[in-house]
This record gives sequence, C-alpha cells and structure tokens, in this order.
Amino acid sequence: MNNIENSVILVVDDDHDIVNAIAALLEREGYSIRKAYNGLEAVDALMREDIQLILIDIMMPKMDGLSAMMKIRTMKNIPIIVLSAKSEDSDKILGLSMGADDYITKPYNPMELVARVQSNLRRYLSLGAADSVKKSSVLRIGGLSLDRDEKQVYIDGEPVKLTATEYKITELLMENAGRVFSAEEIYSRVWNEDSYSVENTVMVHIRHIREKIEINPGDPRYLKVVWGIGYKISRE
Amino acid sequence: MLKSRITRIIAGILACGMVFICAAQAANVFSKSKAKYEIAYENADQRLESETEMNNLYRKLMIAGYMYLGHLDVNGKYQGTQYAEKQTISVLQDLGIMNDMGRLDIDCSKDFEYRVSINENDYSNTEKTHDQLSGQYSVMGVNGDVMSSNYFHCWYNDGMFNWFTTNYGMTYYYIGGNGYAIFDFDTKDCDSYVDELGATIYYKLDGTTPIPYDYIDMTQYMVVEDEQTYSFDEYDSYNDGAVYGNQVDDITVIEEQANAEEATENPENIRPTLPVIDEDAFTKTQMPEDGIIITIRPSDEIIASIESEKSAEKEADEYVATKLVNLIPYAVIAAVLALYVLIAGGYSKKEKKFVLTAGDKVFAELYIVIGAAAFFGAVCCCASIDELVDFFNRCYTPDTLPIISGAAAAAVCGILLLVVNSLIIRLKCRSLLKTSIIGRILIKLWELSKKLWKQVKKAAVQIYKKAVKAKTKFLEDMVSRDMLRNDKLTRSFILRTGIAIVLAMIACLISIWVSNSPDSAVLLIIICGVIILSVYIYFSLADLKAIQRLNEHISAVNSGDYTERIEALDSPIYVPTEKLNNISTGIQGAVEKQLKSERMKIELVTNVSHDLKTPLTSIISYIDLLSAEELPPAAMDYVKIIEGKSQRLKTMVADLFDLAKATSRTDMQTEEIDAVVLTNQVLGDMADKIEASGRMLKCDIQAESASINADGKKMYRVFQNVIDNALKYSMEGTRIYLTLKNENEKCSITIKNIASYEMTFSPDEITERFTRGDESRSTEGNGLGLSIAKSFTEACGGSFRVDIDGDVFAAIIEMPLSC
Repeated sequence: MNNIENSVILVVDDDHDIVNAIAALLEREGYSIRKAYNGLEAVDALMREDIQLILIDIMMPKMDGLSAMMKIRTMKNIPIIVLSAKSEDSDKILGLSMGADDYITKPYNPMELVARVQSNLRRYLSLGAADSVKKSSVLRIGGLSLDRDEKQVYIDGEPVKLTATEYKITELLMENAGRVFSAEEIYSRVWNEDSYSVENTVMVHIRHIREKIEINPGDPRYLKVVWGIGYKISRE
Repeated sequence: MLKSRITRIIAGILACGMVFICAAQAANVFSKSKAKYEIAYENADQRLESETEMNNLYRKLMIAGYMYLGHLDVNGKYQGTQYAEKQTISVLQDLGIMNDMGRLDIDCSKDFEYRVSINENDYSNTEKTHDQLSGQYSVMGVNGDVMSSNYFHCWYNDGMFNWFTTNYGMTYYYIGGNGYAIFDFDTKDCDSYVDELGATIYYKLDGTTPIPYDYIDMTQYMVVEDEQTYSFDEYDSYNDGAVYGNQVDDITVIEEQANAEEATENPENIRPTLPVIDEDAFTKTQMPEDGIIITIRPSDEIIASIESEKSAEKEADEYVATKLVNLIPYAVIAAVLALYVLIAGGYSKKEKKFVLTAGDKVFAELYIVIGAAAFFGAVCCCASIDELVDFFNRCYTPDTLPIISGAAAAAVCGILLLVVNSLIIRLKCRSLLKTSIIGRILIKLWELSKKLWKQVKKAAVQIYKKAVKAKTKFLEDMVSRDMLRNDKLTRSFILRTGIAIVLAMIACLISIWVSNSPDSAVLLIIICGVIILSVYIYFSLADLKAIQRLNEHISAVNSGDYTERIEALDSPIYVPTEKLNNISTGIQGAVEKQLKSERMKIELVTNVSHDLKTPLTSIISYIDLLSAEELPPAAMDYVKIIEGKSQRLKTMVADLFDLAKATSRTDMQTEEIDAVVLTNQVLGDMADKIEASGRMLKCDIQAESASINADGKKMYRVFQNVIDNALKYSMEGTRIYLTLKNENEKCSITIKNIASYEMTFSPDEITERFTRGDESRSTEGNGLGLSIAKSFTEACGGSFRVDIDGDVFAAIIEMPLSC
C-alpha cells in the first residue's frame, strides 16, 4: 500500500472536536482517518488496523502520548507526529527523542499540518527505498537532500528551486552540518570576495532559502539562525 | 544683739585690745625682769671659771689615778719596769701633775678640796674622806660614772677612759679625750710623732709604728686588750697611711731611705715587721682591780656665791610669775571674745543664716598665706625676744617696748582672728572649696569626673542593655547550654592573654630578683618572654585553626554549599558553626521554596496557556474547514474576520507565555554573542517587512563588534519587537534611525522614529503590559511587544528604556559588554 492518497492516519486526542476537525481536514486531502481518544485506544487501534501515520497528542487520560509512543515504537516503524500544546523547546526535544518524527504545536496552522503529514508520509512510503541507494554525491540531512551532480536540492523528495547563490550556501552548510558559519565566512566562500558589511546580504539569502525549504520558515527545521553569531544546518 | 555684725566687730576689737594689754604687760614684765636676772647672774662668769677649773682638776685627778696611782703597790712603789716608771713620770711631769721629785703635785687653788682613791692608794689635798667631801655642790666620779652637782657640770662622763697594753712594750691610755703612750723600751733612737689625741708615739726607722688602731675604733680594740697580741702584718693591713695622716710624709721619707738602703725590687722589704720585744723582759701592768673614786668639793666661798645667785634668780622668777598671772583674766576675756566672734561670725540678722561677706569671697589661699605669715612672724619674734628686747632697750626708751610689742601682738591677733573667722564662715556656709583656688580646681575635677562617670555609666548601661537584648535574643535561639559556650573564643583569648601577662610579670620579677646584673636580667627576661610568647602562640594557633575552619564554612555557605558541618562540643567554634548550620538550612529551605514557587508559576502559566491553546486549536481548525465550504459571500467575509482574529489570539497567547517565562527568568540559554552581527541579522531577516512598510531604516553601527552575554533568540525577539513597533507606529514616509555604539563598557542600541500619533503616555507606561501607543487600538498588535522586549532585555542582564521627546520615540537597549 504505497499510495500516499490512500494512507490511513490515526488521530489521537482527548479533545473530540480537535480529532473531528483534523479528521475533516485530512479527509479533504483524501486520507482515511482512524480516531482514538487516549493512548490505550491508540495502541489498540494500531494492533487492529494497518495504519501509515499517527498524529498524537501528549496530554491525554489513561495513557499519555509519550507512553503510547514508546509502546508503538516497539511494534511499528510508522511516522509519528506529535501534536501538542506544549511549545517549549524542552518539550519538543523530549517528544522527538522519545520516537516522534515531527512535532507540531497547537494551535497549529491547518496548512502546515497537512504539509507535515504529507512530508512524513512521503518519506516513509516513497523515499524508503531510495534511502537504501546511497549516492556519494547526495548529501542527506533528515528530509533534506542535496544532489551535487544535479545541483538540485530536494525536500522530502520534492525538488526545490534554488538560485545558484542559494544552492551554494545550502551546499556549504550541509557539507559542514552542525557547524556555525558567520556571515563573513559564508560570503567569502560563496561569493569568493572580501567581505565587508555583508550581514544583510547573507541574511536575506538565508531567509529566502528558508522560505523555500522549510515548511514553517518562522520555526525552521533545517536552516537555523544562530542569533548574534551566524548560521547553520543542524545535523538531525 | 549678740547676733548682729556690729557686736562681733566690737568684740573682735575688744579681743585685740585685750591681747594688746597682755602683750604690753608681758613685755613690760620681761624687760623689768631682765634687770633682776642680770643682778642674779652678776657672778656667773666667776662661777663658770670655777667650773672650768674644777673640770681641769677632775681630769688631772683621773690621769693621776689611772696612770700612776693605779700602778702603785701598797707601799707606794710603782709596779712596772723602771723604764716604764720613768716614762710615766715624764708624761705626768709634762702634764704638770708631778713635780721634779717624782711626787704627785696637782697645782690647785684653795677653791677646791679633792680626793682620788684607787687600789687603796689615794691622793688628796685635804684630810676629809670621800663621804665628807661629797654633797650638794660636789662632783663625784666612781669608775668613770660622774655624778655632777646641780651647780657644776662635769664634762668628763663615762666612756672617757680606756687603756691597753701592746706586746712590744707600750701602754696606751685614753683619758678624757686625750691619749698618753707609755713606752717600756728605750726610745732614744726612735723617731716620734704625736697622734690625734696628743700621745707621743715612737716608731722605728723601718717605718713601723706601734699603735695598732685608730682611736676612733677604740671600742673595737678594747675587747682584745688583755690577751691578744698584734703582729704588724695585721696592723699593716689595717692601716695604710690614713691613720697617720700627719705622718705620711715621714713614712714616705722612711720608705725612701729604706729604698736607698735595700734593693728596690722587693717592695715587701720596705716595711719589715718590728722585732717582738722579749715578753719576759716586758712586764705587763695590771688594770687596777678596785674602781677609782674622785671627789671634788668647792670651797665654802664659792658655795656661798652660788647660793646668793640662786636666790636672786628665784626672786626674779617669782616676780615674773606673779606679774604674768595677773594677765590671765585679760587673756581669758580675749579668748572668750575671740571664740564668740568665731562662733557667731558671718551670721546675718536679715537673712537669719550665715552668709558670706565681700571679704569672704576673696580666695581662701590668700587669707591662709597672710595668716600663716603673721603667725610665723609672731613665732619668730617670740623666739628672738631677747635680742628684740636688747634692741629696743638700746634704741628706744624702755617704755616703748611694751607699746610696740603690744601693738604687734594685737595686730597679729587681729589678722589671725580675721583669717580664721573668714575661713570658719566659709565652712559654715559650706563654701570653703568654692572660694579657694585649690577648692575650685577640686570642684572642677570632681564635676569632670562626675560627668565622665555619668558617661561611662551611660555607656555601660547601653552596653548592658544591648548585651541583655542580645542575650535574650540569643536565648530565644539557643538553649542555655550553648550560651556558656557562646563566647568561648573571647573568653579563652582573655584568659590566655591574662595568664601570659601575669606570667610575663612574674618572669620579669623573678629575673630581676635572681640575676645579679642588669644585663643578665634583660637576657633572662628576653628568654622568658620568648618562651611565654611561643607557648602563647602555640595555644593561639589552635583557636586560629578553628577560626579558619569557621571561615571556610562561611565561604562554603557563601558559595552555596549548604552541607552541615559538625564541630566537637568543646570546640570554641561549636556555637557559631551550629548557627551557620541553622542559617544554611534556612537559606536552603528558602531557596527551595523560591524555586518551587517559580516552578509552580511556570507550571501555572503552562497549564493556562495549554488550556487556552486547546480551544483555540479547535477554533482555528474549524475556521479552516469552514473557509473551504461553499458559503454565501457575506458569511465568507465573516469567516475571514474570525480567521484574522483567531490568528491574533494565537500570537497573543504565545506572547503571554513568553512574557511569563521571561519574567521568571527560566529557560535562558546565555552565550557570548556579537550585538553587531545580531543587529545585521535582524535587519536582514526583516528587510522585506521594512521595505513593505514604506519607511526608510537608517542604520548607524559605530562599532566593529560588541560582545555581549545574552540569549541570542531572546535578543532577536527584542530587536524584532522594537523594529516592528517602530514600523507600526511611525509616520508614513519618515525615517527610522538605528544606532549602535559602545560606551562606558556598555553596548547601547537606539531605535528612533517619529510617531504617527500624539504620544500621551509616559515612557514607563508604554513598557507596561497591554499598553498600546494608540489608545483606539485600531491597528494590529497586542500591547505586549515592548513589554516583552523589556522583560527579555532585563532577563539577559541589560536594560531597556523608552525616551519620548515630542514626537520622537526612542527605544534604548543597553547591554553590558562582556570584555
């Protein structure tokens, strides 16, 4: 069942209205929805049915999202997106490290929610095979990949249109994932010119790249600004 | 009437008058009696002459008795060698008490009858026995004890006779202050000198002299006179020239002679010992066993003259006495009057009490000095009354003396009365001290000391009160057992220091006592001092260590280490350590409580925002679903409005949450960042927005770099909010100015814009939560922007303020530079 459109998504939240809203939203996109209202039901549903993606809240009665997630991870390899009102960095880190693939804070933007669901499904279903074929010319960080032969950047398998400068910046940052580059360094290495007051220029480019590769540019997943220091693409 | 002042003055004058009468009369009596006494003492010169004669006679009799009669046997033969007899006779002849015939012949007028008896030998110029001679006017001496008569004084009292015999043939007599040496050997070839008492002492050419003592030390040699012999060695060692003061030159001559004769190399040969005379050839004379008795009786003529003198003197005495007795009533009256003046003096009838007059306010010392001068002057005059009388008799008629002396006595009495009266009045008024210099000084001193004492007392009371307060407070905190140990450190210090000081003093005293020279005393004191100091330091070190431990404990508490420390119960820092432990526990508790409440606050905010977010999620979700539905155009518009507002609500909830977190200052990730880089990043990030707003942003960065310690994300929020704010509320077409500069170890970033509306709020108000520049609240925004900016800046350790100058709105961010 590799068809993304026919994927079955399990929505878990103790708030029935939210479950219904998400269900309506995703059904509109053509997904089949299963509903659960606590962790136990979610685990039950997962045992009974074939489910491709889970949207799960953290704070729920009977069994909370984190416990349920740990249970699920012992059985299935499917993408799990946490949907929580907890917006702290520490909450996100906790959720992601407990086995979540993505973390969306409430109140979510419906468009973003759909985009993230699609992105996760694509990676799980379509790119799973591609993952095994490792090209040395391809740099890969999470859903972000860069093919140096094609000079092409993909986000969750979808090609992204970048200008030459933007591509060079992305390449530089991806080659040195995790390292923080100052604007001067980026400028001198990308433009091959001496830098002077280039912060603005570089920042503008970074912002453009972010707008293209990030689902939510305000809360970037890959290309991050280290305020007051520089820029980096974090190793996941 | 007795109490009035005038009475007292009259009484005083009367008393002085009485004294005048007394003194004048007395002077009169004395001057008259003088003539009478002169008559009585007419023959005194003659009497004194007789006395001298009598004493000479007594001395001669003593010499004759001791030196000659005492050595005669019953037959009147001299008991000794011929040579000694010859010598004795020559001495006696020299003294004029023996004639050429060798018979005693004491030249004496017929005025005295005398008899001297010794060893049953006697000599006299009368037939009368001692008993017959003795009487009221006679002088009698038995064994040197002289009984002087009432009228003749004998100068030769006991201790006047001593004698001794040396083993080389000399007998030395010391009689009545004169020395006589009798030699039992041939003195032909000897040199001689006369000793201090008049005895002729011979000596050999070898420089030795036979008299072995200084006559002053006579008594010392008396003991050995009978048996002990002297060698000249001993003698030499005793006397080295000094005794023979007038002989030193001779001895020197002798020495020179000896030196010429003998080898000069051997100084011991200069004074060879005198060859000891053969003892057998030298017969020692014996001291007479029976005592000597001398009796001298003056002639009847002398006795008669003495008796007449005596009766005349008695008559004069009686005259004086009777005359003076007549003066007693005057004296008594004067004394009574004076007493009255002294008792009643100073009483004021008007005030009915004793008061000071003007004279009594003069310094008392002056009075005392005047009084003392008068008194001692009078005493001196009395002491030299005879001379004064003579003087007056010579210079004036005898009648003037009584007047002058009376006046003088009255004046002295008057002065004394005034002085004593004044002093007594002062005493009565209890103002003696006040009116004297010394008294005033004493009073001043007393007042000063009283003041001082007051202050000391006050201070002491304060200290005591404080101490009591502290004690009470302490008691509340601690059980009484600990109170005893409270000041252990101080107590042990005082005790230790006290012991050390006492020990040092004792050591000093012992050192001075034990050692015999100042140097060794100082050395001993230094050694003792070093020992005491070392012991003192040794014991002090223990306390020092304890204090160090305490200090470490305090440092630990200061740096946040609240682990409890245990001290031994007898340790000097037991109580402080316990207190520190209590403090630690208290702080720990408080900190935990604070942290807990912070956590609770965050939890509350989190919960609230969660509770807000959940319904908001539904709202947004359903609006999204609704907007996808086919709706009438009007409904579609409504949905759009709801969508916008729900988005704003979403931002607001997020902002609120951020603000709460910033205020509680949790979740801060501080690192060293560059404010210049940050500013550029923010400007780049917002470039599109700025462009879209149609405002120009003029950027003036005056620093290469500005390192600050802050949370980059938070500072980004601050910049973003401030610039957003400037874009939102600035007048269209105006410029926004951003300035960054480093000054005073601070990085200051100023963002200025011209407001598009009239700013009616104060700088403080605008940074308050939910305050918005435009009161109509027509534009988007929730009023949290500047408030978040302020909170975040402060959370990062900086300051955020707003300046309003007319239409110019300036936000100033100041961050301390990290290097």
